[in-house]
Amino acid sequence: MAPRADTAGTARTTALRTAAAGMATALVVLAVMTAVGLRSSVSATLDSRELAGLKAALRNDPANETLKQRIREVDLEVRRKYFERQRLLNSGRYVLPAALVLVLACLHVAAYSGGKIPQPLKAGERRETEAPGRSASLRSVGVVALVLAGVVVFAGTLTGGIDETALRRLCAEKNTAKVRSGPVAYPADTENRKNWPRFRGADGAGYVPEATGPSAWDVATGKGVIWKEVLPMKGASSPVIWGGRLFLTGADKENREVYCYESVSGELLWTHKVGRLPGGSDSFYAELWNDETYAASTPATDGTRVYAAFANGDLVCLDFNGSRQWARSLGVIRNSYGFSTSPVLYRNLLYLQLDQARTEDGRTVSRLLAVDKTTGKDIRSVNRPVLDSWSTPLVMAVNGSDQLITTSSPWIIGYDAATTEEIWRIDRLDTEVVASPVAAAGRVIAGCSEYELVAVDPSGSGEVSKTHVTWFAEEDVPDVLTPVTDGRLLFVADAHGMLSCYEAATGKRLWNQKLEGSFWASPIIIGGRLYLFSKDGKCHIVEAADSYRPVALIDMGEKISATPAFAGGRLFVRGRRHLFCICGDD
Amino acid sequence: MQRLNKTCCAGLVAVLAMLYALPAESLERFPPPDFESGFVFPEVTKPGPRPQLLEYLDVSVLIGALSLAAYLGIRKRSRTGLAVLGVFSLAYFGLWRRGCICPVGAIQNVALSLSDGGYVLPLSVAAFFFLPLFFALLFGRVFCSSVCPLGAIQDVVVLKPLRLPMWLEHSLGVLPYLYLGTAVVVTMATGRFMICRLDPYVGFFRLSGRLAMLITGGILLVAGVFVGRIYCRFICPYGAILRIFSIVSKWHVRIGPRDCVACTLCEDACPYNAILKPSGESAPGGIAGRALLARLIILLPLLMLAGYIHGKRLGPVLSKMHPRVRLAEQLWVEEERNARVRSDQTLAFIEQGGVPKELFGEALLLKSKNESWGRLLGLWAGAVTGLKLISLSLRRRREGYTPDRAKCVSCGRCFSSCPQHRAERRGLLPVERSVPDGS
Repeated sequence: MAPRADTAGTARTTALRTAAAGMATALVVLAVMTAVGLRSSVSATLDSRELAGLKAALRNDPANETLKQRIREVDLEVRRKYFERQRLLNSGRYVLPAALVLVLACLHVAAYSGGKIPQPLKAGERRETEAPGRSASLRSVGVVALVLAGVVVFAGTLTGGIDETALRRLCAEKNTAKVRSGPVAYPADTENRKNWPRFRGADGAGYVPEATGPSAWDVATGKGVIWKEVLPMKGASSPVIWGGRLFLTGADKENREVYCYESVSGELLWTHKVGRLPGGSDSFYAELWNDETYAASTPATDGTRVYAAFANGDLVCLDFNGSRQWARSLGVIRNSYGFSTSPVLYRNLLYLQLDQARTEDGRTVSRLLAVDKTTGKDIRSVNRPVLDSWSTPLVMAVNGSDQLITTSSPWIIGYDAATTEEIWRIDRLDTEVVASPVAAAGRVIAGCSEYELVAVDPSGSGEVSKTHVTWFAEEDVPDVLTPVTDGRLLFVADAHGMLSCYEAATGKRLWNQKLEGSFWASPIIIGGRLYLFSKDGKCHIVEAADSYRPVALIDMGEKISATPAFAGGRLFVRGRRHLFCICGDD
Repeated sequence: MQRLNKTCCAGLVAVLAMLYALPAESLERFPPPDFESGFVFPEVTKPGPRPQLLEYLDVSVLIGALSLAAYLGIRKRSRTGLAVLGVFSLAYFGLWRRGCICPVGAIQNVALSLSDGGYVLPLSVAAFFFLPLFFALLFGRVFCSSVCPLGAIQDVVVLKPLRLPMWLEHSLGVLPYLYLGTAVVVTMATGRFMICRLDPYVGFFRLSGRLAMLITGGILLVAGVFVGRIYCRFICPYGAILRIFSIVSKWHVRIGPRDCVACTLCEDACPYNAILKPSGESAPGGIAGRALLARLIILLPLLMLAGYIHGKRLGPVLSKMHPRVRLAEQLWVEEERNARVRSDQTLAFIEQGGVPKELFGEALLLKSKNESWGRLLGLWAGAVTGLKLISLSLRRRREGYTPDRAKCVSCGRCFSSCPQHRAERRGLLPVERSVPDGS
């Protein structure tokens, strides 16, 4: 047995020594590969100081051909070295495993050759590996079960990311017509602000404070423009957006339509043709002078339904699937240029400011109409001693209650939004009132062309013409365009392009600037930028700041009359022929 | 010399841990020069599908290897033959075939074909899934012995095997079944192939892979020097199925060629704790044992019920793995934050005309379905745990040392520990020609 044991021992020793040699080789190869690998990383290669220095010199002397040639040579040299290292690495990929295979083989020989022959146990001897009692195994499996339970419980807490309840709500919002019944709920302010539910967005403010608007896009190349869709019919109405759906109206003298687009993709989801309503007609009080004014009223939505008004007096309510919920004709509206006031939703009411011209016998027939938004039936109709106007009412919280503020010639009137009872009125307007009122610094700010811009304290009651005017201005007043404010600054633009900035609280004019072009679309503020689209399709972007600071001037390529909308980080602009969705390229 | 041995092992540990990370790093692209060089970049080409003929070759090699493994293990009783076959399988199925397709991953293909009517299970994949099972029914886990490249790569690094305590062996032995259930549910619920993504060794077969995958594989291989076949014993989901088939196999490898004389020499022979000792006169466990068994049988449906109830909590986890739900969530978050810069995924979805509403609706439906899948997985986990407890309380009478049919990978490492086997090999005893059944 002795010679055999010696042979085995020798073989084992040889195997171990060979393994050690192989391991040393492997470690050396690994060290070389590590060093080469670190040196050959792309960043290290491109960090060539010489190359960087030459490129810097070329920037100062771009026409220097010698320099260019030198850069090419150095670049080529850098790359050549890089690929040399790559070749070395690839060789190492085969040498290293080969060395390790050798090590493994030798270790196998050492481990399994010439090993001891197993010996039987002596009497009473127990091996160390004798299986313990099964209770230990049972307990250990029980522990595994408990750990599993813990994992499941922990997994339940890892829902994070999306709020499923919110997701369900969103989907419910999009299909509410099918699933909701009973009284229609009205959305919370936060939901309104997240969307763009009416003319000039939530509260009619035209102001989105927490977002950043785009400042660079190119309609011609499509850069920064997510989608652009051809509009079926014309109109001056603005888009309204809710939860991924965009609603828009279009009309001509005989036809009126409501469109629903997927706001993310621009896909036209459905078109609702209003058709001829009972009592409705295609006749107008005055011949409309512009083919966009048949659909000048911006629709409104409460997140479940969309409400649209047209110049011929049609008022229609649709669900989000385009199914008509109710429709009615308000009859011919006595409006000199075409009815363009937009509907305003307040809780279960839909308000429509039906201001009209006097009858031939001199009677005033203007009224504030409040209809039940679920049925379309009149709840209240309040006569108004005013002439025809084109402004849209404002809902404003005053001393804990909501007021509906209307502006017409000559009265600015504050109503209780819930009861439609008049609270106060002030005689400060004249001529044709097109611009809608806005709220800033606790004041109602309104104006009309060539007359006055006035800030009114809405806390009064009765006739407050002489007691509640906070400030007024007689120059740079609004005419067609509704002012916009960020709460501190008030920006007033007129149709001729005069853009003025006031302190909202004091009426102090900070600056004014004449912009190129004429304007019908009202400005909006997104973040710190003011957007103003001219009729000839130029978007003026200026900083909403104490001084005039232009940001960009972008050509939309077509005429624009409608006030833009903003939701979901995207700007939606209605042109004469197209609807644009812009995310910007900045 | 022992110091030298330890040094080699330690060096092997270090090298394996760091190996292959470098090739993985070298996959990064090199930027083109920022001037016109006149070089025309070659057109990007995609590799075509594997020719049908080669797939048939793979299946043929698989059948041949399984047959040979059965012959070498059961009839020939050749550990050396099995080891050589293992090296061949490692070279063919591992390095040349790059570890794909393998029966372990084929679990997912089969699961997907059951859940997705639009997915057709390729014939070669079906063959790779079912053939080892068929052989397991006949001969036990001969696939694990020397045909599986994952088993082979682990087998070659077993140098200093330590024996784990049985309680740890039993508790970790539950994991393959849980992994199997999880992988099947994940595939059916989300279409994702988690087994492939978590395969620790495929990176070595391909000489490339994610760094985490390579490091995990390296760690497992290094640990495998001391704890044999960690993946096969405590992770492999296909092994979990093979265990069940092997238990009822018609034939199985035996430790010795003849009836066991309980000499105890083979007790330490198996590095995988797969040798069952004689039960002796004390088993089974008497009244206390029967009472325990009764309690555990009652516990089984309770565990399953608990798993079913609480498995619902796994629904959100499964949803997070589903690409459509993740896309919906991403889109949702971007909409919520009014994000101006979108992710590539949502941008692609939008640019391809995707309708968010439909996506959100789909996500909700999937989330609801995933709760059901979660319940199913909970049910499975409860059943696995309960059945394992029951199996531990069962006591069977055994006369001699036998391989544990479930655990035994038919590697033949125990053959040489049997004095009868040695005697046959040296011609001291006539060779036993009858095909043993291992019972």
